Amino acid sequence: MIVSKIKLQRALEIVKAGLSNREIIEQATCFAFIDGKITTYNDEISLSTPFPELEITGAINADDLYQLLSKLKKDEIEVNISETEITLEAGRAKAGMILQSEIKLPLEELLGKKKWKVLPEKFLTAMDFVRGSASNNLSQPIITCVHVSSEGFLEASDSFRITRYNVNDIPVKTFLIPATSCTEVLQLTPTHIAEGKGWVHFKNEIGTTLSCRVFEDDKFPQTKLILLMEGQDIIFPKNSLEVLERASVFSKREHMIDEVVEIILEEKKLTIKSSSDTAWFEESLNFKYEGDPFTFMVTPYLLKGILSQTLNCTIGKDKLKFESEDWVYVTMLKTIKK
Amino acid sequence: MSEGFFSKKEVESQSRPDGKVYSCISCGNYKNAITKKMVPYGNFKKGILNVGEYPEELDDSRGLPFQSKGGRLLKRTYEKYGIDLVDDCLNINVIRCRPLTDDGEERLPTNFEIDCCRRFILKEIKERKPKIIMVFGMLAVYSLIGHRFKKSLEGITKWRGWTIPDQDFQAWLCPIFSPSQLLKDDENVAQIIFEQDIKNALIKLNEPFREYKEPTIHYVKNLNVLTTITSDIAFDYETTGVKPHLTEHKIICASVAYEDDKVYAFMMPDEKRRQPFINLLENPYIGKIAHNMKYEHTWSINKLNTEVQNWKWDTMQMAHILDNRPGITGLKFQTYVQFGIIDYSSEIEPFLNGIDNKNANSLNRIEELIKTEEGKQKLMRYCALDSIFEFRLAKLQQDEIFNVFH
Repeated sequence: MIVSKIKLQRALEIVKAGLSNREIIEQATCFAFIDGKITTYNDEISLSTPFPELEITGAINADDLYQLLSKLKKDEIEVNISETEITLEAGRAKAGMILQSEIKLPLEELLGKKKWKVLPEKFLTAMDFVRGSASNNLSQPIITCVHVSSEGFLEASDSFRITRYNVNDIPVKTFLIPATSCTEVLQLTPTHIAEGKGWVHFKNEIGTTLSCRVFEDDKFPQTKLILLMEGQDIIFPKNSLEVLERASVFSKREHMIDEVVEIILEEKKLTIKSSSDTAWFEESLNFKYEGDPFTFMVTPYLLKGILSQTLNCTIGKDKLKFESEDWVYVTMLKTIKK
Repeated sequence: MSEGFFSKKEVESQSRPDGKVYSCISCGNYKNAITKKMVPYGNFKKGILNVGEYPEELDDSRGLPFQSKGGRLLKRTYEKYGIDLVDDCLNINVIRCRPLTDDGEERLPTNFEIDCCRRFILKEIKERKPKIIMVFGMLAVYSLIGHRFKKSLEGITKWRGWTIPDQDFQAWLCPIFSPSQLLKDDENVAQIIFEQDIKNALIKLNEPFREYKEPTIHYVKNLNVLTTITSDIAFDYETTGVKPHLTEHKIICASVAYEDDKVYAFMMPDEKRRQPFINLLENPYIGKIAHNMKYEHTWSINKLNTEVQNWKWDTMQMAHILDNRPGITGLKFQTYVQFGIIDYSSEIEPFLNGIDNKNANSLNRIEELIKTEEGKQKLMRYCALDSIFEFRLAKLQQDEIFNVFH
């Protein structure tokens, strides 16, 4: 069989996120070739993408294959298989790798027929918008998830802030998906969704599927009452966005949801602060506000999203709320002692 | 420190207690078992949930729990008390698939495998709402208590025999020896204990569940309120260390429980303002209760220059007198087994450990905690709960002693 190295590399790149870095499950560190697809599985997510050019069934050590392909110069690769080995030839280079002919990954749960339903238009925008409010603290497992509610919204919270985005006609039952898996969902840009037992599946236009484990039997805490609040209406300064851009230089972290900036509201002054291990940033803006001084932390990309849509917010006794037609963001305020 | 919008309970997960995936796939036992993912069995007419350890050979081949010798012993024992294992109970194991070695030999399940299966057991409890949960053997104790109890569980001898009003499960939780283990040990004494424990647990079928009553905690600054107290009190200190003899050590806060559900908590004020408290401690007409009274007594002498009068009850000593098994007299353990409250201290605990664990005089990190108002509040609440539990424990122990003599 002759296959294109670049095409194969692209396909492997798509499913790479489903690999495990430890073999917690047999073949979790392998690319599995089955039914004209390349599949990976790590018990949290599983990715599968069509690759009909390679008609083989078996599992190959992911690292070996991936590394080798990145070093081959020729694009055309001749692939041959025996019972136990797969050989790759590109120009004068030749390599052999163990092919585990039996697929031991527990794919039966994932490969069955699914009832695919079209994802609502705003689903991905909503997921991207709310996931930044999820907690990364595993001692609070439920709020490390994005809550996709069949009542027509997506929401996330780390218990200090809540973001809810309304999405009509969610075609599946309510589920809780880890915010870390949302990164993969967004990467996939799916068009369809299907529910499974303990899993939710997504599919994109080219037929790549992503299966994500959901939190079974758990319920997201009630947020309705927290989101309802009244208070003084204030307007964020027009150039807040610009300052936020500067502040976010030093708030960069490995994962976007770990990034935070501090906002300090004081009489007639709004300050945005950020820091990294090696640097810090602070800038104040004039601000029409005459209440008690408060501070809150926020993920900069989320605040950018908010401020690009509205500068109006409501400040209550201990909460601050931004709201638009589609979404609402409420954060707990921390009092600053005078 | 703050829990924010949601309580700790609201953000706990049943399916993933620490956020990690505990799946049948990562456990893998289902691959080799004849009966995969064994389902609970029984008509549950009397609301008894029997939680065993793991399916043995016969259970696996028949697809039902409690079929092996241990199960038959349990069946016979229950029959003596008019209980039918199938009709009156629901029977499950903490592991649903029989654990085998690569060579096909039966083996004990690992903690990880139990963690993977836990959510199914918890789901049964939640949905079926048993009156009593019979917890057979240490693996079952690990499954039902291990994920919530922050200290070392130790062995089954520490747990067996308690009838715990578990507030999370809203059921009496009764750890008992595993019947299979009894058959292996062939010890008559253990079998007698096994039968006694079953008998005691079954009494709870006809007793109302002991609900936890949230106490009213009064956080006070002016200690004059203490002058109104006229009856016995339980009191407790939070201090900067274990031993009071170093000059740097301080009593940070104290609490005084004066009724079953009422308690005062306060940060220890200066010498002049704490006089009402000193008067209370020195009042010979008011009985004093503490958990390890030697501790409160020594700290009172060294840091408050007062000797506590009329010590009436030491709940720690009495716990030992009533049951002399090792490792059971600690207040946290007693609070769980007697009141079913499994964890009220984990947030505070890191601040109570000595900075230098090898040095008995070492300071702890309590002063870090009280830098904020929130921290102070948490410490006072923790201290208040200690006093309340001591007060309630003393009453329970007094009743028990009364019952022994009458």
